[in-house]
Amino acid sequence: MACYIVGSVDCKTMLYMKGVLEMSNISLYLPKVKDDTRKLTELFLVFLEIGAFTLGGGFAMIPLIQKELVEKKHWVEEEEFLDEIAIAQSVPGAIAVNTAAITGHKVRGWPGAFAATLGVMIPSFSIIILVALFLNNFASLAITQAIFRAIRPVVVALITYSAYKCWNTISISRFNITIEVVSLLSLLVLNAPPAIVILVAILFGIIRKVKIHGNTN
Amino acid sequence: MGILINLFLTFLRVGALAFGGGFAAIPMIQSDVVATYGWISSHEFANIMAVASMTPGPIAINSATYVGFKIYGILGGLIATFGVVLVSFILIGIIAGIMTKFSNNKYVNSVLEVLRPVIVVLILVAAINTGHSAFVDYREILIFGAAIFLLFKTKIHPIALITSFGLLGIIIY
Repeated sequence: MACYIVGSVDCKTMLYMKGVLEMSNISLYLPKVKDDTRKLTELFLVFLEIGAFTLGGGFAMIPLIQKELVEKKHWVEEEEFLDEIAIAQSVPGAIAVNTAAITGHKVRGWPGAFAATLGVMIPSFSIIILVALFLNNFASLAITQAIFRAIRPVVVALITYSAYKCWNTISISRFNITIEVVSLLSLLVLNAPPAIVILVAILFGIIRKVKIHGNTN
Repeated sequence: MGILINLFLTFLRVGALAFGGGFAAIPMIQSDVVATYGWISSHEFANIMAVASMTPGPIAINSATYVGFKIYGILGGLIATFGVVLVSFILIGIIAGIMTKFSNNKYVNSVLEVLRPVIVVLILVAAINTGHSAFVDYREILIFGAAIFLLFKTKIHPIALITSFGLLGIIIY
């Protein structure tokens, strides 16, 4: 259609150029490499976006990853995602970085982990450098305070919603409810550090199997 | 050069020992950069933490970049940021590899069975903890209610939600 508008000579040139482009397109001959690069680029871009909109710490990132990778792209399954958060929480360091790295690793191994981690870091890094260079009074500006004040309850809502969705993926059994109540009490009432609660849970998970194993034999 | 090495090692240590994310990292960073090395005054550190928690991104990364930048410019920012993520990146990669290899192992599965409900509770507690400082008066409660309603009743994207309420904040505050 467009050819008629451009004129027949131009049309031929264009078709010729198109052919040359297609032939020179190495990725056509190496579909696997192309697919791979595309997935890595996608991973990088998704986490770039997530990094730019994660306000209020690593937990605020969970609903964003859930939406993008579990619901939209289906790269990660719901239960798998819960396991990934479990690992991200058990390892030291920023939860957002850990979650990015493990999700990237699951999708595409070490290069995937690298692409996701790099993606999630770049917005933070550049925004902080810009703020440090030009907006030293950023935190006390009226406009940033207004935006932040309105966003904070939204972040609370997002994290609450995430907790609900994660809760929905695991079954309502006596076992799960007992663990939920015990960990809720130890975190809220006893003020136990999350790392200790996780460590105890890991030990309990191992001991439980050792005992069952001992009984069956 | 010496200062860059110290900067790198400081944030490497923070990244390796901060269990529980950014909020666990803050006191560690403070004791090193303010008390031990005296690179930054405690007043400036407070400002850095305010900025780090109000800008997008993980707090640990934001504070590492900012502290590094204050001490040694963009190179300092890069070194500190690199240091703070290095250990968790390597650990995560190794653990993820092990998990894939032993995904049928009964111990791994048992640990995950116990961890799943714990993580649900940890996320809920994170919401409660964030809520402590988020609610100032009735307006925040209204925003929270509206956000919860939109999340449960519509398929709104979290980014759309954050952006629209951020803009709304300029109007109402």
